[in-house]
Amino acid sequence: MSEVILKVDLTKGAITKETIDPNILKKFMGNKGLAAYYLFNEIPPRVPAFSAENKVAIMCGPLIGTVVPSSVKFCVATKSPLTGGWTDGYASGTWADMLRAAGYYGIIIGGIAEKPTYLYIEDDKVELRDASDIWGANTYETIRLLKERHRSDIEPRVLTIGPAAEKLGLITTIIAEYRAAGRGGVASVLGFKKLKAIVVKGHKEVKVANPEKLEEAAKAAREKLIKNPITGARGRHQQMGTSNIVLGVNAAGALPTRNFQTGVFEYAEEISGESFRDTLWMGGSRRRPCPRCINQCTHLAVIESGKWAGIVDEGPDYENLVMLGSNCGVADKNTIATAEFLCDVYGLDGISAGNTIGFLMECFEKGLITKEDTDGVNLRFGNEDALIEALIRGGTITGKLGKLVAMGVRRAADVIGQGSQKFAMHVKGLEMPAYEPRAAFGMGLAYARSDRGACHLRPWTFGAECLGLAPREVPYLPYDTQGKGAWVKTLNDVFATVHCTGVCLFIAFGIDAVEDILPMVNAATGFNYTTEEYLKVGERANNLTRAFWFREVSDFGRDYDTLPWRCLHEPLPSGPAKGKTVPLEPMLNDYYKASGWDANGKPTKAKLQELSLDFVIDKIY
Amino acid sequence: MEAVAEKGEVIVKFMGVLRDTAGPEIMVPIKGKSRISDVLQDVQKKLEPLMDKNLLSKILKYSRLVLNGVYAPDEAEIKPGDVLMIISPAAGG
Ligand code: SF4
Repeated sequence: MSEVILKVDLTKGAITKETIDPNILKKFMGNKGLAAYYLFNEIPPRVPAFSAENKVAIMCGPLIGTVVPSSVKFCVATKSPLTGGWTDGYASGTWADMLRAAGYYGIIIGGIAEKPTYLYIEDDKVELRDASDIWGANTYETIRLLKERHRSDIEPRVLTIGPAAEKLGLITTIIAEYRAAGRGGVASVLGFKKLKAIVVKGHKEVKVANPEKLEEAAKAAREKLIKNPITGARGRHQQMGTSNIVLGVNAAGALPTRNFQTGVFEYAEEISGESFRDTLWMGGSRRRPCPRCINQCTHLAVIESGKWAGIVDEGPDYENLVMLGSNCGVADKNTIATAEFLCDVYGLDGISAGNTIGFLMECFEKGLITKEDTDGVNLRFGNEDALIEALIRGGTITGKLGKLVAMGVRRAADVIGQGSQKFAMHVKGLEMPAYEPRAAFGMGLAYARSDRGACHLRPWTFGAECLGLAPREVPYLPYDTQGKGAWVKTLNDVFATVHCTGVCLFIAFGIDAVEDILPMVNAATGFNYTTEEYLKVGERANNLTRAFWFREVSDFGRDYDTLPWRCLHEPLPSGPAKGKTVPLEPMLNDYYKASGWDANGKPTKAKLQELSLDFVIDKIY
Repeated sequence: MEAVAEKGEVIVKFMGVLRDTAGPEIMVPIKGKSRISDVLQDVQKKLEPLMDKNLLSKILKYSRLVLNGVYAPDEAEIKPGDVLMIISPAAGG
């Protein structure tokens, strides 16, 4: 198949179209893989994240926009202003379908516009337009305004940044058709470049190599997904989305509570998926599924009473629910749903925001900061109004509190000092998400060496370790270290491969990444990947992003693949994991060995050659 | 309302897919010295009318077992009044 990307130079106001070399397309496939290929080659070494030379890649995978179930996940990637290294994030929804219908597989954005600008794409027509009138508008307002302006025979799809990114806060996300993408501040790089939004309208059919075979494979996948008790009709995802696991995670002692001080929240029932289902989600009937999705994990929360009455928003999903809920000691569902809404409209990363506010609450309770530092806000755990106030200030970067929230937890800890770095819960500067690693060592390893900093999906080991998705055997048991490094490495490559295809990771709970997804990829691309070639796509992407870190950060290596002090030295005080800390080093050794990396975690020349990444070698050796 | 164990019973709580089938908890009678594996057999019998037998036995083989708040192996002893939490498959992200 031949695929075209757009290259946008905002400084020159120039837009070019480029056909992707088929060999490159086969090797890197899409999303993360292809984004890493372009960014590694096109961003000059060691330029600041906030610079004209840094670039943002928005990329699709080969299954996006096809008949395949849940084929919606696109990628946004850049050099992160939060961590200084690689970052890529994903959004679902309808935006990427439309980009492919306009005839494009991706967009690479560089330069800086003179004034606020948006990119308008309608099939072959691609233009930069003045966004001065929408600069400053929140994400939902921007989407509404641009839809109104460009509605014609079809509804335009809008991707935008919010006020937090315009003001160069560091914990920001892009919002594409009400779905968030990009941890690590991708949106702020667009804010720096003064690119407010991308509007897309497309009328073309997404072409695939073998439509009959693709339909056949997609049908088989649909049937499996429907029968599965998690992904199927009235399954747990349809009822409660990812939030269905709150009670299970709490039972395993892994629900981050009050800035990861413990893994057991006494109000877990109150904030559980079951409780949301039976109240704000009306029995799970208020779903907002992505196109062609069987799981249908997304729910619409409608707040009908109380001080936040009238707010209607998608979510909260598990991550935001926990980080804005138990991690801040908040048990009120309306407050949590409102907090998620505020993150969306300001374009804040809900995980990072909940993590940073939880940290600031602990600092406040310990007396390391006072009302002087919070502009008078009584920033105590469980104070619902304080959580909302902190998000409003963080989203608009107002006052001292707003600045502390917007800079993320690592920088906030550096400003506050007084030993607070010990409980600043981040890896490589990216805030930790909603699993307590002391209760699931595989998650600890995953966080420690993830290529964007602490990430819950690189890979997600928690289900196998603590939620019964794998048998009660080594290496899946939560406190085992034997064999864990190799297992986590293999799983991470599989996750990366699935990411590259463009299907939502959540369908991998109901179908197999190789048995079911590979035939669909082959039917769509005509590339006839063998199983080995297919899985190498993920491994190649993971090695390329690893090399990106080595190229960008002069002292990068093993010391960066670590966990917060609290996870390594402070035993959990309660729950099944009581007394545990993460024994990271032996797992890390195994991981490096299984990866073909040296003792400092650097991909060896032999490994890079094996993965056809020869062009990387002289950049990091 | 939380169940209270009668003499000679253990409380079995469910998380994940089994909670959808069996509800939040059931009481399982035990006699004298028993092991978790005995209770799992009883749970299998109780739930069999509600779901596919093979799927149920796979779920029980995969579920994580927490006895009185601590992970426990199948062969751990269990006595009346104990609480066994069965964390059955669930997926999030
Ligand atoms: S599982 Fe959820 S996020 Fe994934 S495609 Fe379906 S609705 Fe979208």
